[in-house]
Amino acid sequence: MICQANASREFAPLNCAKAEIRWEMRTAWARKSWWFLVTALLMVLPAAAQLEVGDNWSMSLSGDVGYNYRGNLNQGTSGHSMGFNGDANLNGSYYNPNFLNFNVQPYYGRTQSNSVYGALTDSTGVNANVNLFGGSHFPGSFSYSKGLNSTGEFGIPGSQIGLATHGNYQGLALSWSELLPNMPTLTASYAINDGTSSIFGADGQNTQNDRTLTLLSTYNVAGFRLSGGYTHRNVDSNFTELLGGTTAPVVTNAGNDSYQFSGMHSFPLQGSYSFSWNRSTYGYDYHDSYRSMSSGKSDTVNGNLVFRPASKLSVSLNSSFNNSLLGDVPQILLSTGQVVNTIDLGSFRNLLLGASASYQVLSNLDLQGIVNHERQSFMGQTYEATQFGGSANYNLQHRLLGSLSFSVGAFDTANQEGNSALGFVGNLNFARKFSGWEVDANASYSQNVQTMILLYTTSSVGYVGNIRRRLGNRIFWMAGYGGSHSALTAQAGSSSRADRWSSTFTYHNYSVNGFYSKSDGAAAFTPTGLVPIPNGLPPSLFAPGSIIEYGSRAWGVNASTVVMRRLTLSAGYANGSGSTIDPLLSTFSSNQLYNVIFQYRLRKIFVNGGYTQLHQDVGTVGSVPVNVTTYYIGISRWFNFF
Amino acid sequence: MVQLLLIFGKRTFLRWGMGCAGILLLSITPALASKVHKEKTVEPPPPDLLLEGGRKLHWERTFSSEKEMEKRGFFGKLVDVVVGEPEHPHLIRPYSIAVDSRGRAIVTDPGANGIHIFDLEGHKYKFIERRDKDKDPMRSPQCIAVDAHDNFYVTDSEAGKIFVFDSNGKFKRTIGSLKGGEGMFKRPTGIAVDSAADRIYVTDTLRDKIFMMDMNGSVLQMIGKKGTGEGEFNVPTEVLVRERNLFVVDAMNFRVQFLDRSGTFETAVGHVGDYSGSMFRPKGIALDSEDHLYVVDGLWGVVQVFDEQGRLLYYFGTRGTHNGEFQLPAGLFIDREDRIFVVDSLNRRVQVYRYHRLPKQAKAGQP
Repeated sequence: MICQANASREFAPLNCAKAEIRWEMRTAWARKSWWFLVTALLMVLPAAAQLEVGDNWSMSLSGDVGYNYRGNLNQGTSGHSMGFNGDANLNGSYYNPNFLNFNVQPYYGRTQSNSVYGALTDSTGVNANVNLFGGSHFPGSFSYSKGLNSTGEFGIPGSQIGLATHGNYQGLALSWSELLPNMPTLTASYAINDGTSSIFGADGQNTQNDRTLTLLSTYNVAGFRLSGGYTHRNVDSNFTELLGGTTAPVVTNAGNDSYQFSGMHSFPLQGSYSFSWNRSTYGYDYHDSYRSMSSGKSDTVNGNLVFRPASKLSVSLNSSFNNSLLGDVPQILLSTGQVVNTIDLGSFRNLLLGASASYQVLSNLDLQGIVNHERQSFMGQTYEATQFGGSANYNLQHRLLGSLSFSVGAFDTANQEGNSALGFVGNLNFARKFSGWEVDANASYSQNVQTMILLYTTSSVGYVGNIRRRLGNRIFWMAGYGGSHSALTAQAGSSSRADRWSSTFTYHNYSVNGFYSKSDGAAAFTPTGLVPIPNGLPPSLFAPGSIIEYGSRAWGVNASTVVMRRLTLSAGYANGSGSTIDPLLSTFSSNQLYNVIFQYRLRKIFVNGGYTQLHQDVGTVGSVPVNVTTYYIGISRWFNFF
Repeated sequence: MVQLLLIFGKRTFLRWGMGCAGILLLSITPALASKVHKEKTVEPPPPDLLLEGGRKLHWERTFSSEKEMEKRGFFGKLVDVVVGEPEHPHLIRPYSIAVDSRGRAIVTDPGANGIHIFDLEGHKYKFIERRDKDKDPMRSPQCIAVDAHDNFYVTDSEAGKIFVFDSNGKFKRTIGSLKGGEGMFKRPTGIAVDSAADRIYVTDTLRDKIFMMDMNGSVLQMIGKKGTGEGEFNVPTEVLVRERNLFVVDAMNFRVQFLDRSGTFETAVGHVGDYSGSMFRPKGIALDSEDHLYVVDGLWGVVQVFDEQGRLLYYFGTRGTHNGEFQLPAGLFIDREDRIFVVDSLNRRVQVYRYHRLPKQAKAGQP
């Protein structure tokens, strides 16, 4: 019988009304029954604490059980609810922790009230892992995690905060090994990770499904250490067209198979020689409003010899041949989760022959020299280059200078067109305490360093500095700055830059910290955020539309205090904005997050409250800014069941 | 409108009530369950050590936290069941101990950065700390001594000072504090107070000297210098004053030196070794009512007892975690009733023995 849901009871047919009453009774019973179920479960848990499962079992269970009130205001629509929340931590082993040990951590209704971060959603999930036969010849492990309605972040490179997201995830990993003595070993592992997320303020979902199978075998025979393996990785992703600037959702299916074999054997003069072979095959299927497919394979053979003709002198000779250098790029991109459609420069062969020597002049000073000859053939042309270089490494522990180490190097590259510009690398580390001021710094510099493609060199500079001072009893101040800037030489649009400042001041029970960051560069979309393109790959290598330029800026402050014994309070504000530019779409996003949390603890009872407000504007066509406000108050008790 | 609010209020109240009832129910059941579970294990005490002439060493008890001092009434137990037991302060890395005239055991704990006061008879507990104070913060309380008025004196090996507290644990003053808050001592460790003579004796381990001061902290005399000879020290760590003698643990010379009050060497007990009667890591020392010298050896986990001539009489303890066993024992104190308090540092507890001396009649040769 079909009864219209919106029919009023007065005008509904009698038999329909009866059916409705029966249905209401059923739903009422269902509503109440879970209370009974939960109560029964909770009654059983402590009883289980006394259960003698067996002499060989060792288990401990602790967790929180709480009840909370939570409300939200989403785009002017308000809602509120009350309910249980909790988490548990079950640890145990059977017979011996090496034989079998496990850890299960379920959580239910996780809001700010029982999490350490300001969550915008109530998430429920579980994390579990089991280890078997540890220390034996056949160890194995299993892990599983699942999260529903969890809060996440759509990352932006170099930015302290990204766009807030919510979604689900699930992961499963299995691993098993055979480690018999004097026999080839074998380790097999398989992992699946699924994730679905939506950015607050943007329609559509981003999904990613990642499956990886790895087989690895090693064998020591006749002085050779041999290793062979196979890896299969498959990544399917789908993200909303609003972000990609396309007219349809971007769907990619990428597969990669990698086979590798390597060996190593000792060599006279405290040396060793090694060889390796690697084959990588890939298939790429990219489609939004149009579809493109690509596939290919790449073989690489390497040989290396290292020996020490004198105690302070070490010499290394190496060679490498690759029949399709760019065939490795999809594998590199796949490992970062990036989505690009086509990469094709035709056949791309690469041959490298090199030698290097290192001599220890003093206990804290060593010098290195290298010579490389490289030959690359692509797009019907052959390019050759010879590189000479040298570097010095020095470290010093001095009472006045503190801890100081640095290295400098210079390289000269010559090709058929003559000498190209000199290349330099340098690195400096410094740590020193000046009458109460603790200072440490690191700087690195490189100029005209050869990339994997002979035509391109890259330059970069990076610097980090921190300063800390104790101003009095329980009064501290610290500040830090870090930055990096890199670009391919003479390649417009290839530069990326990131700077960040942070400072913290602590006065007894009060603490205030703030940060500021800004970044820009070239990146590719992934379902979980923007990822910078690997260093050394020119943007022109990628098809138009697959790489975007981004810029971001973020700042925030956070304050926390212990107002009185056992009462803690923290409040924070973060502001972020970003922009993306690509041929199809330009966006400007912004978000502001306010967060206040308090916690009062009385023995094992916790009273928590919090308020979070998010304003987020994704800035894509058709999207509108969202305002999400959540607040809660809850009480929970921690138990050590057994 | 009012009715609506009332209905909403009723429903809200009902739901909150159910939630709180659920929490209460949950609070009670596991606590009861765990109570049954935990009562299963009680470790047996070690057997009495029967000594010559009817003397006896009896293991009495161990204590380690506030929980063992408390007597909980019905209401207290009910509160414990509902909101959980409080976090009882616990010994973390106890080092030294002294017992005052009221029978309270006062234990320094560098690991907890404070001092525990266990009132064994009054079933009370107090914890004193000063690490957060702007003026004279206490950083690493090391050794302790009690004067005739139950004021206690605590050396702080890191701050280089001596902290003085009254019998209620209230901070009174520091000794050895220089201008700018720095400490006068390089590393003060052992301390002894002679109330009758108004003298304080402190070992400065890094200086290899004993400081003799009046009760105001004015240095009257410095005793000893670095060396291995008589009256010389190599890392002195403990000092004890009794009648006319000073007893100094000369740790890296593996001995206990007996000095007179002016610092003149009289005799020494101990030599390096790994057999009975030798010392490897001498720590706390004490004298019982028969003037036997008790010396803790931290590494071997034993307490060795010597007579006035330095002959080993007996020893007790071994390395371990059970009752009567020690792991890195440190402090030692014997009260007027011959109760022996041994700080079992790594086991985070104090073990209490009672020495039953030779009956006075028998000692005097009477039947």
